[in-house]
Amino acid sequence: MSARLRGIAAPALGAALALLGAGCVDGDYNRRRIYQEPLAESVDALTVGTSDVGAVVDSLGAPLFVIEVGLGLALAWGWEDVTNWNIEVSGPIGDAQGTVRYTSETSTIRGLVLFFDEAWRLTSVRRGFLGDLLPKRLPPRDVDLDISAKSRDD
Amino acid sequence: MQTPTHLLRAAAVLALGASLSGCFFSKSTANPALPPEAVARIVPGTSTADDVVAAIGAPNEVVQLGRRSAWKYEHTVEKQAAVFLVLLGLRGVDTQADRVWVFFDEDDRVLHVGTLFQAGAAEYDVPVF
Repeated sequence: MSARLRGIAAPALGAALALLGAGCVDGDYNRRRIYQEPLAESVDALTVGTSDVGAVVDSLGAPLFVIEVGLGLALAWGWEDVTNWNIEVSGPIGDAQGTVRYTSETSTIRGLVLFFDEAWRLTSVRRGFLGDLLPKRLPPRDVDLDISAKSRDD
Repeated sequence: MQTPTHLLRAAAVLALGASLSGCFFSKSTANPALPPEAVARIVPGTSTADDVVAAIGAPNEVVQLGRRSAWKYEHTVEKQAAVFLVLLGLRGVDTQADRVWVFFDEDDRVLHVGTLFQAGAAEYDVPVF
């Protein structure tokens, strides 16, 4: 190492250690994996209007959510595999203490939601972010009243 | 013989780095495991809700589907591994599940059983870039 380089490296290292010692710099690199995506070829093999709930769970396995939708239902799968950076720098700014934080983290839980009609036959397949796809959950209720009301609406 | 100064400095930096680094591993689970052989005893068209409870116990969730219903069973495993270096932490979290959904008709007879056994695939994985 040249004398000039040593002259630069030593103060830089000293500054880095001083920042670390003071708790001024904190960085982390994370990987988060949650569940697994259903096989694309299994999803592609499903047929709208023909595949039923039994065929779908046989092919894709147990979903993450089962949600009642009208007189039918939706089956939802969700998964995530992301890496992200978090860096935080803090220190005095004048008389105050300041902190700057950078994160590359985003909510990226991907989803696959399959919708079924009253006969539990597949009506549509949707892909995207799970939070955008999930239908609203219905509260528990009197089934007979609910079904007769929906039949009148139809 | 006199040790060169830059070697002493490098050794000091390495020693400091080592003293400031660390690592950890953790494993956490939620809900009891779902033995595949117990799940296999649930037969669509034959088994009833009582049979399901006898085989794998009480569900984690019950969903009303009109007059029909679905029961959810889930066992999750989360493994975390992390290495803390001088200025940087590397951390990996992997969450996987064994999951079973049992669908019932309006007479509480099993219509379908959906299974997924992936909890064993959870890994201790420290990311590198």
